[in-house]
Amino acid sequence: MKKHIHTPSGFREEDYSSEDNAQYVKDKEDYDKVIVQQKADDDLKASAKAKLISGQALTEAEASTLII
Amino acid sequence: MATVNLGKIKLKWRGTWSSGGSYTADDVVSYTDSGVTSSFIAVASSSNQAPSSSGTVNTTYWNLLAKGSDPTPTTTQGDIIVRGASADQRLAIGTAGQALKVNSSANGLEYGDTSAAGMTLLYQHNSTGGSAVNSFSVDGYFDDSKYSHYKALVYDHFTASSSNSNEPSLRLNVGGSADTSNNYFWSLDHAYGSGHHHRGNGAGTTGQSSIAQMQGTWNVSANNRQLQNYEIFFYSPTTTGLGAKYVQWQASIFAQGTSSNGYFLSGTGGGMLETAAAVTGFTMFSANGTTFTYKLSLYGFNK
Repeated sequence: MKKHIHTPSGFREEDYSSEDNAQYVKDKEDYDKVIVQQKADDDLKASAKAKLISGQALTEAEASTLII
Repeated sequence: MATVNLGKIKLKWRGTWSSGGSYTADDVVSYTDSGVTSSFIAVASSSNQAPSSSGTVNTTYWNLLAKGSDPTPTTTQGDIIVRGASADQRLAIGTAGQALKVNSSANGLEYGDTSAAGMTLLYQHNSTGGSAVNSFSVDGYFDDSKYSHYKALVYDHFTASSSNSNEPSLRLNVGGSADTSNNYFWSLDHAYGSGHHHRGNGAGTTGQSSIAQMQGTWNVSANNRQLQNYEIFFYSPTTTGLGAKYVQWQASIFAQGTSSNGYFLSGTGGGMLETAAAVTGFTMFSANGTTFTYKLSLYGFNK
């Protein structure tokens, strides 16, 4: 993996250091967790939409997904 | 036998005028007055009568034959010539980054900072050549003593991926490198043709280690490509003791899927890093490791 560094001293392109790679692994884990959470949020929103269409009562969590 | 005085039948070159010389009509001399060397022709006999003084010809004894031009007042590389109150004069080159502008009296030119209004381009990276990268850092350009806030344009942010979207995330740099503490809070709102999302961790007390997914985890599977543009504002980044550093951004993204799916999305978001330290720059990275190319301009809003 590569990175660019821009400073007043100049521009350079470098390979990821071992620290950068370790940070990337952690970032990817965090990213995957966020994706799972946001997929759950989207599912909740879809559920709220379906219930609205069919006239069913929404849970509080489903109602919270709506922007009024 | 009668004698007819024809005078001079041609001009007589007498060389450089001398105060000790005697001159008669039609003598021609060269004379330097106020730095301008001209040639003069005598119209009457004289001695010690300079042909010209302070630019005014001594017409009792001399007339201008050919007027010389002012020598250049420049002395140094980068000098330019401007008209002064009464004559051309030298204007020395300014310092790096300065521009030529009208002075405060509006009667001349000078070099100076164009700080009265507008923005200063602090840095530009407008090449998409070289390797696609997973992150980039811009550091060392913020200076709150000169600029009130800053705007980074990250444009032509291009991901060519056959598997997944690029998910740009943002960190602020402290001491020259990205701050990875769990002290980031952010939220965003984005819309596309048939839907709408709001994202972030603005609620609660638990921070994250970045301003994650600036495009809101927009994920079009099996992308052919994705093109994104961001405007990111930074507020007082090098001013210490504020307790937090804020950014705001606007994004527009187009994602083209391998099938007929294509999505345009626009969004706006904001975030902060809880810190009292000076922020020296920022780092954008791909949260899922996808590589990308990009262009970049960084402006400071002049104080």
